[in-house]
Amino acid sequence: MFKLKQMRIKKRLTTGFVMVSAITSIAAIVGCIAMIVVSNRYEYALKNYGFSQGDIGKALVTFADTRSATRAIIGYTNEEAIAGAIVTHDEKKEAFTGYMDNLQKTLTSDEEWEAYNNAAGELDAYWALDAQIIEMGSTSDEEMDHQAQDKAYTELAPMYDEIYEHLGELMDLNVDMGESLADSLSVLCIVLLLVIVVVIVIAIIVSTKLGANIAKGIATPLGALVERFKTFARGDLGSPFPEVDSQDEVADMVSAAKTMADDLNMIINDTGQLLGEMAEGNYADDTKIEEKYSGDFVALIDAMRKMNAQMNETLRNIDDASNQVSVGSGNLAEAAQALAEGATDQAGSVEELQATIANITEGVQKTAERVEESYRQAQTYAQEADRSREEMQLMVSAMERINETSQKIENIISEIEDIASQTNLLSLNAAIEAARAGEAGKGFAVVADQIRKLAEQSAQSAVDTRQLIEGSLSEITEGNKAAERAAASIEEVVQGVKMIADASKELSVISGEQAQAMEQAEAGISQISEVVQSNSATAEESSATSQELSAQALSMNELVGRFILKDEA
Amino acid sequence: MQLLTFSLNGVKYGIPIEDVQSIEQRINITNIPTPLPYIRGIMRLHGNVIPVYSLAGKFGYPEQKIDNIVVTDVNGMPVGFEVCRVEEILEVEGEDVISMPRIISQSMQYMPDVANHNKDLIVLLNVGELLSEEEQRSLQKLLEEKQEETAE
Repeated sequence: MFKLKQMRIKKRLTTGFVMVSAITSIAAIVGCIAMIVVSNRYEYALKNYGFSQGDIGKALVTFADTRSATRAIIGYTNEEAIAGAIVTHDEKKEAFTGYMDNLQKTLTSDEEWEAYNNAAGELDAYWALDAQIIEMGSTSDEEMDHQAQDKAYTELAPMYDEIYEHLGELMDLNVDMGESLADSLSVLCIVLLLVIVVVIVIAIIVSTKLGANIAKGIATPLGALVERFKTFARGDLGSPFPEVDSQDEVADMVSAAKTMADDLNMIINDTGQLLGEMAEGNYADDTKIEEKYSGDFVALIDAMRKMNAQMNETLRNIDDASNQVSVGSGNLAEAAQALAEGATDQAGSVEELQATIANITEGVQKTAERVEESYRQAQTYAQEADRSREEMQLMVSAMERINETSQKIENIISEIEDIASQTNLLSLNAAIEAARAGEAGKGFAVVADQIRKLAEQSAQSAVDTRQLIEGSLSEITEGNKAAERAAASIEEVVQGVKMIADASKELSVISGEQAQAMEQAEAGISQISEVVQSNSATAEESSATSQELSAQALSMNELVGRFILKDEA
Repeated sequence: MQLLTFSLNGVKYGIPIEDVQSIEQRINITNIPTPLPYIRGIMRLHGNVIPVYSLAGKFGYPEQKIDNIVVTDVNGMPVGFEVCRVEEILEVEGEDVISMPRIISQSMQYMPDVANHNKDLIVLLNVGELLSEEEQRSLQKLLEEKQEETAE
């Protein structure tokens, strides 16, 4: 038997169909052979028995017709009628001869041949006698006719009967053989019919069994696979796939399905693990089987990573934000505390300020009185300053006169210096002359030297005097400058005192206004005091709130801290 | 020996008193155009015309404030030298006079010695060597021309 199970489905089906076709073809060929055999037998029967029986019948009829025509020729006296009967006789005779020739070809058995030869042997003598009788009977001579008639009756008639009898014998033989053949054919038909039926039954049985076998070979593993796929569809990824011992497309399909299930299982397990880690708060994990995420699964891992990255970033942001909030709220709490303390201090300060303002108000009123007094004093001082200025003018003009005199003295000293210089020169020249005079000029040299010394002394005195004079001149200049400055100062003092007087008046007015302003200020300070106290309360509240905020930020920080986040790239 | 001392650009110079004719104030100097370098002009002295010579120019000093003219006898020709100020007549002993280092006296023969006096160094001038022979001849010629002009 073929190892159908080891074949591929395509080959298996092809082989199965070829086998069924072959069986069917054998049945058909057997049928065809039977048909050809039956057909041949029938043709043989028809030809050798059916047609030959007809031919025998026709030969008997035409043979009888020739006898009738012979009798007519004998009986007729009319020439024309005789001629017509002769033609008929010849035609019939020719037809009879044709039938006999045909008949000869269908002879099969020895008995037939014997009957045929008996008939044919007599025919030549019959036709010769018949021609003799027709020649005698074709005249209108009654005698002749009578002789002919007699001859026909005595000689030709027994011959005719004998031939007829032989042909009838042939006919009977033919009928008997045809009937026996028909019987054998009937038997053959039944036998062939039985053979065909048997072959068809065998073909049906074999085909059905083969088909069922092949169908079972395909359907059984497919059915098992379908059942497995149904459980697969319900989420059972782990159970084993049905084992297939064939090596066909179903086995390929099972193997592919196994691979698919394994990959899917791995992906789902990996996804489950990753999502589980994320659910537990671990965002630092990544897939270990990235190569399995191919095709449409890439979108899955991408989406998961995107979700992971977004959650990671969001949590990190939350972490950062909560840190900042924590720090900020801590700062806020401190600031609020400081504010509260500050507000308390402020309230104290404001109270002090109120007291101070009251003092100031009192002071301002006293100031106004004092200012009035200083105005009167300033006027007195202004008059005194005017007198000082006039005296200063007198002193300045006296000093100018001293200055002029000093200038004149300086000129005189210059002249003295000049004279001293010339004297010095002169004494030097005298010394030179004395030196030239040699020993004789020695006494003169002493005199010249003394003159030179005197000249030097007078020059020195002049220089001293000039220094003194220059000193007094510079003193006078300084005095002049001081006097001018004093005059200017006195002028300024006068102006200043007047301005003080004016200012004192203005001050007096301003002090009045100030006193009023201070009262308003007192009212304002009272309002400030109220605001400061409310500020203090608000700051306390704010401090408490921000401490609460700080605590909440810390707890948020702890919550976020439970998540394991990826390192910042 | 007796020296007439004067200052020029802060340096103290001395001329033997025998070489000095007189000391004059710097007045009445006529500036004339002359091709001779260091000749400031001419001045009248006891009826004669004498040239006035700039020692500051000769020594390469910057322009000085001149008070006195020292008139000396240069090989028989009176020449006035501009000085800042005549100071005094000094008596210097022989052992205080020291020769100028050779490297200086070789190139400047008019500075043969220096005198040591009260810790000051006085540069002694040999007026006979101050003017080159060429200068002396040119001066002689110039003075003769000017003498003739005044005579006319």
